[in-house]
Amino acid sequence: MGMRGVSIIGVGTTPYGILKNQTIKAMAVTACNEAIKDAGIDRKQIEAFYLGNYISGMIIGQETLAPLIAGGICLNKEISCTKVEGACSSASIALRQGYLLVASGLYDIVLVAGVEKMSSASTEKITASLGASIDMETEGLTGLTFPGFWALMARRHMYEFGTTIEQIGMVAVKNHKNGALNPRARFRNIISLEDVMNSKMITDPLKLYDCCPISDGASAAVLCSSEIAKEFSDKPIDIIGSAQTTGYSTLFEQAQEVSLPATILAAKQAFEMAGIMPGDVDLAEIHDCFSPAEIADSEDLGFFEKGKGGWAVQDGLTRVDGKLPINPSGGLLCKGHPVGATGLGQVYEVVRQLRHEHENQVKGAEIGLTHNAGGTGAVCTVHILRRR
Amino acid sequence: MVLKCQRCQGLFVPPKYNCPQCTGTDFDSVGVSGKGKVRTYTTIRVPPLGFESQVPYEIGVIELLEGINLTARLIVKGGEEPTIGGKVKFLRSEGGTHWFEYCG
Repeated sequence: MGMRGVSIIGVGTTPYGILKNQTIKAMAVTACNEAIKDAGIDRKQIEAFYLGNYISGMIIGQETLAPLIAGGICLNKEISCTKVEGACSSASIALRQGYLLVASGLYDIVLVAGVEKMSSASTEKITASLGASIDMETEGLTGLTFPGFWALMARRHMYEFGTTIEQIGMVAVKNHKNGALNPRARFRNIISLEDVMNSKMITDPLKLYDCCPISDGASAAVLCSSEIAKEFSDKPIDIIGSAQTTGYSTLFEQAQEVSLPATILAAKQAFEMAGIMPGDVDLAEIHDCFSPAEIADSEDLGFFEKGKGGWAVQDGLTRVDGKLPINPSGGLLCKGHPVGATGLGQVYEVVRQLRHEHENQVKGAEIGLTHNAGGTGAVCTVHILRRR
Repeated sequence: MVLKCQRCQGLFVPPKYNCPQCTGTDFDSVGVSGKGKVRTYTTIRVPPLGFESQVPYEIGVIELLEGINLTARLIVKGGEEPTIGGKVKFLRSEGGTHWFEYCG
């Protein structure tokens, strides 16, 4: 069956942070309405809706979010409204599923969104809810947390490749420098490596600044068949690569602790589909849930050889003015990580970059990549976007 | 005790439903030495709900002598810092959680 081109004609987002008085509905509605307005469509033209969310049931006791939000923004009742969950990649899965509906020729216009409300619960409750992504018949029973998961990976990465704790900390320094310029970011403070090293130990060897902050937020995008995109937008962004793959629900089953296999698979699929190489990418928003994750991800995505990611950060290659800017938005570490929304937040940032209207603009950006790893890398998505 | 696939003899930490090597569904329970080494480890200081009284606690990915990995709680004697490659010994399993003692 022939797949046709899909483009993004509109994006919307809330800022990410502690949005105290914003309910989950309010945030999702804000992001969706902004995307609809940006796309210049009538909301009744939307033929399907996918919504990503990870833990709203556990945190705020609200389930069945997709029809709830659809009702909030008055979508047609004839259309399907579907919630998707894949831990921290939930919103990217929404994007992937929406993409498939348009690429297959079934629909012309699809709305995708992601939302998360995290600030209303205690750290212990959030930690446990996020940890529920780990296999709860095995590894999840040990009391392993997600900072713990990445601490285990960081230690092994340091052991196998000589990656240093300073290189890991430099990821946080870089992403704060980037986030300082992003009005949507939870944190706007510039930090030094010393600040990272002096911050509170969370799970050895990872400290507070090595961990993404709890955040509320919502992001959305309107997808459109590429053939008709120019009817709505004079700056459509084409999705030239899209992949969603599956990994493991524990660390121990991976048989190694320095890579997420699902990221490697998804990158391969997405680059092959796009017909480009990692070196052709002008900027990437990747899954820096913890600072060592950005290093491992950058290798698994094919930007650097396995084991060389730490040196890439140290040598400044991934700064906004470097050879391959990574997370010029501030990333999950500084912009924040409302887990079910992040994937489309990354898309928002890349779309702004490719429209050449970003606050921390990568000069001449033509091709951008987004990457999410859900939970233990159980789900991974990679999308490649190109300015027309 | 671990599981051994009747079809391909692969060894796995329970539970297993389909064998990851051959998709078979029949397993025997076999005893193993309980000895292994640390592949990686961490100390959890910020706990999830229900683990508050246990912090700080150690978790490791253990590689058993028999060549299979599992994630376990580690008992480390006061003041000692585990190292990757350090030896561990199985203590007990409690409700699905495996406990190992770090021997150094």
